[in-house]
Amino acid sequence: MKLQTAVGIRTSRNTIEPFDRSRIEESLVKETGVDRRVAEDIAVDVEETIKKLSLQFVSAPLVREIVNVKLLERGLEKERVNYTRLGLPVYDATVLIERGSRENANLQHNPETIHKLVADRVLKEYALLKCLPLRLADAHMRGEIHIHDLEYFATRPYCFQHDLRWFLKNGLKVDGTGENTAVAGPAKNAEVAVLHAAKALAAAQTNFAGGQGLDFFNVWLAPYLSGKSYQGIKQLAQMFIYEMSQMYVARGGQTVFSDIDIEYGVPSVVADLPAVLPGGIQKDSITYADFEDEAMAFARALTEVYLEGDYVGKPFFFPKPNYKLRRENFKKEGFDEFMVLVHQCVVKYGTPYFLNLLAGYLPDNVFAQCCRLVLSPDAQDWEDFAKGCMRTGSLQVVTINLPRIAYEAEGNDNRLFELIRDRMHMAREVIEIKAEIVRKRMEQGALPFLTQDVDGEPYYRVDKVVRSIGFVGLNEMLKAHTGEELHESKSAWRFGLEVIRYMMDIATEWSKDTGLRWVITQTPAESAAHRLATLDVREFGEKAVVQGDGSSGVVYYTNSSHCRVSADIPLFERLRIEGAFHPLCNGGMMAHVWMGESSPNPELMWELTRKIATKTLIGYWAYTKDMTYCRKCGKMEGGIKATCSYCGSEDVECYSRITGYYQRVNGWNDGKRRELMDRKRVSFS
Amino acid sequence: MCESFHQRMLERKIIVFTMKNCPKCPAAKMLAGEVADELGLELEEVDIEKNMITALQYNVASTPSIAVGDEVIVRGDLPTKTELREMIKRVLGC
Repeated sequence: MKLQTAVGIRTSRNTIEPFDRSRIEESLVKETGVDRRVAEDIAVDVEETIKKLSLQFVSAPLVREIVNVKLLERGLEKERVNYTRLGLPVYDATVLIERGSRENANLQHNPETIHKLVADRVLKEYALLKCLPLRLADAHMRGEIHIHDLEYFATRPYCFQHDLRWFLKNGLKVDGTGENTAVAGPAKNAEVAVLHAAKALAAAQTNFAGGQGLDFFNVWLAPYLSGKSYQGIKQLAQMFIYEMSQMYVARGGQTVFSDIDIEYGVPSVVADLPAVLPGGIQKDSITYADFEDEAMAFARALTEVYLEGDYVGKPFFFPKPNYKLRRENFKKEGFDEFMVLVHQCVVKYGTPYFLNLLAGYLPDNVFAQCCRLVLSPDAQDWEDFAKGCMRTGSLQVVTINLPRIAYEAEGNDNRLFELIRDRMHMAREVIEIKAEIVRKRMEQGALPFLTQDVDGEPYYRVDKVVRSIGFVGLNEMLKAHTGEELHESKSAWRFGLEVIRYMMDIATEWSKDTGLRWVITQTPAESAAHRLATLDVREFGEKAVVQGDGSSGVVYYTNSSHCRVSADIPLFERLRIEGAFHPLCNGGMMAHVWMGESSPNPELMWELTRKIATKTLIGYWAYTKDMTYCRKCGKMEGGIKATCSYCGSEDVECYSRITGYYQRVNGWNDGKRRELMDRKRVSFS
Repeated sequence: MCESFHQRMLERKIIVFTMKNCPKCPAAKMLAGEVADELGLELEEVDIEKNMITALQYNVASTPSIAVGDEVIVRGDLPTKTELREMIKRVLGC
């Protein structure tokens, strides 16, 4: 029976309609599955409540909230979860619109990012409410674990490494199907090949939450550069880097989070593979070894472009260039000279990253991407590699809050290790849920770039990507559990290694049991380091061991298994301690050398790089130069400065590496800003 | 108070890092033993699989590797006797 009150409803369809309680009944039955009699009872109850308010109009969201209260009054919590609305308070929306957010340093305050941030709030809530069981959602909210990229949890996987040869051979459908966009055939010339590389990354970014990488970048493109002058090759390098730095379109108005791996010439691991030639043609008689000169010229050209910076002299932040250090390179003519050029860029901007194949534990076709993901291929990857479409990435990262475990273990080793295993199981459950979600989205056609066909298989294979378990605050865990920080004694260091090896052993055991790839990764913890420390101070008070300023609440944990950033220890001692953890972190690692404002001699820096590569186990690292750019006079200088040293203007923008990438310091969260202040810079002068 | 690992680890002995099924390890061990005898140094063998954490604290993850005190002078390679002798002498400053 339909009863009506005089009150009008402002509906979510942007109409004003008379109140009709049967709509509540229908929606309750449809959305929560409650019995119709219960639905009718609630609808009557809601109508009475609204009548008592004596309003002329109510909004549909308010009616829904009243229904939620009635559900709770009847103990129907599960039904309420299914019936509730997602969204954000008007005040929060206003703040996002007027001021933006500093949670992700890559986000400028602009209309696209405002949309993204509002949508992020809804989808984060959706993930916690609908995708995850309450105990796992609560574990995240309490700070036992940190589920990364929650805003994308319900819709897309984390990061990916592509094989450019596949796009060069088959052409490009940027929407994955060719139904909504134009379809391009295989590139026939260098300009188009370079543009396809850029567009493939941008297109993929719409289906992924994290970084997009291209391995052997200069090698796979080398056949397209045949016969070109060096000037022409440099123009192409410039075109690609500008494309990747200026396509301001990804994930709600950001540049694509991209990486390219740069080789010195053609490494032996790919030398004999048949080259993909212009037009997507392959001939057995023509291999990549035939394009050594072009690959070298392209590597040099890319490096020169990075060194020159953009039109106003600022560095290029993306694509991040990863230089692979291989033993065979040292025998090649001109390598020293090339590396001095790379280190000119290190000294000027800190842009390059180094992937160390000399450390003895990384295979020949390992690659780096995103913030620090370093992936070692398995047997099937080699097969893909030979066939021309090597592709993999990380499905999802979940971070374990290690200091929290130490507080709960109260000095008991057995308890500590038990808790590590428990938290890892929580992380595993989260990742398993994510795997099912991605599978379902692929079936639903909601990840069209990922379902493209590659020899009868989808481009994205859920079972082939890694499941990443990260960790934060080993240093603070050790301090809380053993009384000493990582750098303070050999025994604390050893205990730290036992903790991470224990985690790696569990991941290895899971990999054997499931046939899937479970890995341990050094989480970048851009927001997790601050969030988890803040929650632990609230929960454990003075027992919490945190960095930063406890009195102001600006606290953070040390990233992964790094030494405390302010620890007063020599550089090589830091690198030896941190390097020991790198072979245990088979899903990604990164060490930082904070250069501050110094501009040391490039030759000496190349010597330092060589020493790090040959004397430590550091697998991946970068030198970070702090920089200040003056908007008034357009000059860039080293260091984090409040005013420009050239013209005195206060209109300056500071840049540094937040975790695994450079960004404006203004966009950093409070914890990371504090860490920036605390970093002990190495004096190279 | 921070202690220096370097000081603690710098002992006048040769450490050879080996592991099972490493083809060059027996030769590396023999070579390191001969050079240690010549120079009057102690020789220690560390199996990096059985003692992974000790090896990691030396920043060693491949075999055969050889260290003098805390300094790794050979990593995942087999030097000649002359090369090894010279490298050790250089580290020890003799």
